[in-house]
Amino acid sequence: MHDDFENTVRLNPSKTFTPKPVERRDIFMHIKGPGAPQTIIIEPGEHIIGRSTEADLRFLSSRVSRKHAKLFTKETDTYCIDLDSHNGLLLNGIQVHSVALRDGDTLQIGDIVLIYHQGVQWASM
Amino acid sequence: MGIYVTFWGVRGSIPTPGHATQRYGGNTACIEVQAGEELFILDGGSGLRSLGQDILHRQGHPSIKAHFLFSHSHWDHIQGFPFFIPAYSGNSVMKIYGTNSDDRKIFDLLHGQMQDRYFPVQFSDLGSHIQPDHLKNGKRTINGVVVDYFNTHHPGGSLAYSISYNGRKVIYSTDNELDMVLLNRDATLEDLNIPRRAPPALLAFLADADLVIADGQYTDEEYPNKVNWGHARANTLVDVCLEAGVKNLAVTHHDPMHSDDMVDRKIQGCRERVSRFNGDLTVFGAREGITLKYA
Repeated sequence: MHDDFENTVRLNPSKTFTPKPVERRDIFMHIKGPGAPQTIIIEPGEHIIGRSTEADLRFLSSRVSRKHAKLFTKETDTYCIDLDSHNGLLLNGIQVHSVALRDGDTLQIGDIVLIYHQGVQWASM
Repeated sequence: MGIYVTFWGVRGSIPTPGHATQRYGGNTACIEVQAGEELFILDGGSGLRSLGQDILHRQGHPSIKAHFLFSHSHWDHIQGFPFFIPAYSGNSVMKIYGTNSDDRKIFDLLHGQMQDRYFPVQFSDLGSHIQPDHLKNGKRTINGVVVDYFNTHHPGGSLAYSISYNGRKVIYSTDNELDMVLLNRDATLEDLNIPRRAPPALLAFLADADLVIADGQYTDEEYPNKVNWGHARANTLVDVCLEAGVKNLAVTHHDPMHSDDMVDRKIQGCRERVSRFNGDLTVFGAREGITLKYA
């Protein structure tokens, strides 16, 4: 009887690739404003964006408030919330109070323009 | 304190999860409005489930005191209610508003959709205090927040709501075939470029709103095949908001057949129309996970 699977490559279980989960890393592409261009890796947790020396993500621009916005993670989403900044938080050109970021979003913080890219959960070999 | 508006469900008709709708979101109608001390929940589509989970996350417990304003009782506006975690909390108080003391239609329908033929948990088994209330046939002031309503054009009827607080005004008007009530309806179907004019009563209801969240499901090209389906052309919405002096327009009730890119193109068309009429109106597509602040 013909075996439909006779040409199937069978993996040796001992050599089977076992993925190790690695934490997702989202990034900002900083494309405009002081310090651009640069790529910013967003570490998990809460981060203050601002001009202050206390800010985790610091931009040296007079149009950025000392504590302008906060990044944080909730479930699987990365959020950005305005901290009552002077110039506000713009998402794709629209002023928002907070946003669950999506891949490709453009954030404007003062004269700083950031493009958000959502990372993928990848595995090392 | 001002008004905070959060979008939890912006899709029309049926939930549409998937990659094509990931950016704007696939949940059906649900908007959270925090005005001063009062929490208003506008419609209970599938987005209401996400709101319930967020309340649990942000408070650490599910108990709320909230005012529910439903536009109407079609599925995509009530289907999230049985999955709303705060409804199961014994400390929650939720008021379901009708237009007057005799209007218990929505309250009764929420009860009805949880009969054992449709859902395993009965309405009477929900632990929270769910009470019918009403808008006294007109404007009702709740702890400094003025709530008003307006009858709109949709099969079976639908209500638009106005929430005003501290000099700010937000309008929610979904499922409204605005094109059917235009003063120059026939002409606007012949010539897509002429301004579409709304009746004075509607303009007065919308007048000078900081934000209008409204149904603009169709493009001008789609609409001729959808007449009487109860939804508006997005461009019609633009014209009416321009005439009413609205500042910001969030187009919602996105068509379930529309991908994110299609919604983008529809919104771009709206913006071009605003420019063509030299208007001062910010237009964007309502999107899950965004909070706006008017203070």
